[in-house]
Amino acid sequence: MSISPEVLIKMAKLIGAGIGCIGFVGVGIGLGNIFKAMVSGIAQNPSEKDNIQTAAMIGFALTESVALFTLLVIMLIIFVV
Amino acid sequence: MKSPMDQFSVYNILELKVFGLDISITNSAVYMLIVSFLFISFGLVGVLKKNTAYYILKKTFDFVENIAANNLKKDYKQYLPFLTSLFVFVLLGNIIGIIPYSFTFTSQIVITLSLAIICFLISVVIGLKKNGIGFFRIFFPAGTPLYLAPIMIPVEVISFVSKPISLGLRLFVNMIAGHIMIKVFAMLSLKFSPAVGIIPFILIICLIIFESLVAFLQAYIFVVLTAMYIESSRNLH
Repeated sequence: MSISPEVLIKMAKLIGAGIGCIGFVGVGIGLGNIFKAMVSGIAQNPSEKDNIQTAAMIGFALTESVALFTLLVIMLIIFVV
Repeated sequence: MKSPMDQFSVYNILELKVFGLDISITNSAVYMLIVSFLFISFGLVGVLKKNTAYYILKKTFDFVENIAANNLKKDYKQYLPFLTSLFVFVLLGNIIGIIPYSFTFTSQIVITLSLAIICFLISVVIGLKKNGIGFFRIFFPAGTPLYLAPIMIPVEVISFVSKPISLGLRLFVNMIAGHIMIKVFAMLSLKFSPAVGIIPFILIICLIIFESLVAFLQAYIFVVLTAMYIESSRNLH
């Protein structure tokens, strides 16, 4: 049996999209690091809670954006060639 | 069956053509007009009669002034109108998508990328005006040895050029991801009988709450990063 080219391309797209999900590992580790530093910072210095929380929120949003760039690339692979 | 991407389709409501340019009013333009009208009328009512609207507006202005004072070390008052209108535009644009049957205009890459490029060009022009030709010292930090220059300068240029792209892309992808997830769970909830379909529905409620938090956070991040870029091009860091 032979596989037609369109089916082969679709297969390859889906495999590529699955392999691309490996990128989320780094984002998970990074987010854990940010909140670990935030928790230990508040524990050591409770009077600076507002500053630490503000910095942690900025770090969270910037790291989350890497995860969303990866998600964008995966969607581009599946839906746009 | 409709796909989850149908909610992002832009269609014309009123066709206008001026000298061959197509400036028809689309549904995204209608929502931008709604958001601007909301803010202007809120401001006028709040200032003329000092009621609750005035205090909500004051809280918003104090919030943005806090951002500016923390990130721009001195002379931040001249940038406050720009930063406030940017914050309110992006925040209301993100939040108005939570109402059913409405259109989030910040989920269009055209709009967020244009906003990000405008903010980036503002920071470049401010840096050029203040520092003249010495603005290009931003690519070669003071105190690095000269033999590192061929490696550092391309890396710094690439990271400088990626600032507007990442700024616009971040807002766009955050908005699109939330809305697509909601639509996918809604389709899942429709496929089952109502007794089983209540479980994805509760998940949709939690997703909407999470998405409103993301909307506020992304508007805050946009303004904080714009203030940081203005500051970094003003004192060449």
